[in-house]
Amino acid sequence: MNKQNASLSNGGIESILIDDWYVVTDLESMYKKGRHRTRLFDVPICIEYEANCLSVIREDSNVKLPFGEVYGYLWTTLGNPIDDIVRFLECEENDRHVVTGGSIAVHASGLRAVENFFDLSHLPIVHKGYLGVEAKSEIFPYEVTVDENNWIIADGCHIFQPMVSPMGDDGIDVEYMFRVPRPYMVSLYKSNAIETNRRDFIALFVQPVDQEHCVAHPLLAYLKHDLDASTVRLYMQLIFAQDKPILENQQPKRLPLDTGDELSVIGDKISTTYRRWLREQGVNYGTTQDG
Amino acid sequence: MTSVLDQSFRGWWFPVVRSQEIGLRHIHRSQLLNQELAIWRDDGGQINAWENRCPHRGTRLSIGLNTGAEIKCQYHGWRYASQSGQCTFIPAHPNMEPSPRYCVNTYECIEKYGYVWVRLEKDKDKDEDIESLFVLTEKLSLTTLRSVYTMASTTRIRDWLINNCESQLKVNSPSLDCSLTGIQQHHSFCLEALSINNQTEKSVTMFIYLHPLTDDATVIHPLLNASISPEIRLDELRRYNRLFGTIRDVCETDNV
Repeated sequence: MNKQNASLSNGGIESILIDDWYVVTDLESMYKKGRHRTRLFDVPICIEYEANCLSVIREDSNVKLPFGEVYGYLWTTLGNPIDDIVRFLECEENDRHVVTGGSIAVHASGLRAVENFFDLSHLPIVHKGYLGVEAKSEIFPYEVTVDENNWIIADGCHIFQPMVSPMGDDGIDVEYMFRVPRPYMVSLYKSNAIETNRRDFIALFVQPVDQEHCVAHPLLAYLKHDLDASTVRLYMQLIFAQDKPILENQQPKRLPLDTGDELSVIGDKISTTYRRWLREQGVNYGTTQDG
Repeated sequence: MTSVLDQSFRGWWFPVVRSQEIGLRHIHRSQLLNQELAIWRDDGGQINAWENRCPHRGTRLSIGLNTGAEIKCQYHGWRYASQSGQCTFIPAHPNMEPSPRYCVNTYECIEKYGYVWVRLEKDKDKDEDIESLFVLTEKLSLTTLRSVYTMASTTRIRDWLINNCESQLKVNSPSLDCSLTGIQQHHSFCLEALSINNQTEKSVTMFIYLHPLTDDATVIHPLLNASISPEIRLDELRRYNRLFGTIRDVCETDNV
């Protein structure tokens, strides 16, 4: 890992956000393209791949940034992260397809994208026929806690899902667990239909391009069985394509943290916890608190 | 040329869209004084003008579903009743009766003279009779012309119409086969003019309503005080379309 210290002013962005690692591109497409320009926290960034060598440059100051290559993604930082890039045990298991899900640009705050990812009650509506059915839309109580690492954990989340498989099964009750390790990062574990004691894994690494634009970089670690990797990836893209128009039609584009701004119900417990957790940590970037 | 709109105009009635454009099970997205609106008709014919935002997670209701009696939000399937805006059903909690606070913000609206009229607030001090704003009293035969969307402030368009339209239109656009004359102002958002057909020299009274979308975007709703016979309808509509297209171009160009 190339750790150079970027001691530049970062526009007053809170340390909890700036001193961390963010995905800015997937490596596979980077090797093909050779150059990729993007932004992170409004700062223009150029990634270059030349003579088998990667570099990441802040274009506003021409300073080289540290980066890491983890899970098929290129990660960088504008600040001074205390921790290494987050690791997930499931992604180290070799009976899983570990694939990137295709980076998707969204015209909304990245915090809206995180919230959509752990939102249970939209599954039977937005993803009906895939991740839920409208006739079984009820959300039963589930537990939300903040653990000793300050991660939000929502466990025991049940939803009825139709089986989208050639066998044409009727459907199963699927159990989810969600974890929110960082304001702009979220992961889920969902019960596997074949190996009932193991779970499939998806993480969403959100790149805050600016306060109202983001790129969602999904990572999937699915038990292989009869699946091939491209099916896993295509499924993720199908699902996200259903979310994108919803995300881009939410107003305001930034996430409101005040409880009075948007109404919630019991089934939104993870969302209300997330908003409080952001507020308590002083996260402003991407919320209606800023600007 | 941005001119920030006076908040007191929230108590005024504005035409926001032609009635004919609010078709069966459609949801029309509009704006008025920087406020986004979802305008829709239930199957009983009642018109609704709502804040275009689900109070749950902020999703635009205009991408939702008009079921004929309710709007169903596209994100979590919450349903809101025509007229009251009250939430009637939350799929995540099907046995819960949504309390009165689960309600969309609704605005007063009526249909008259071929338009849907909306006001954002009731003005206590100046609770105007709606008729006084229409300024149309005689028995009328009206034709709503195509509404023209412009990237110019309402002030800009009004001032140009009053001060420059008559003198500049002929000079700048000699090819236009109609022009406006005798322009007078009824109130801040309503002008009256005589529309002259340059070939026949016949004149017709026209009302020009200005509908501020935002501080610097305006819709011009031209309303003709005459009916148009079917055989010349298409030509006439095209003629007016060219006229207001030219007005838009001039107001947008000088706006830079």
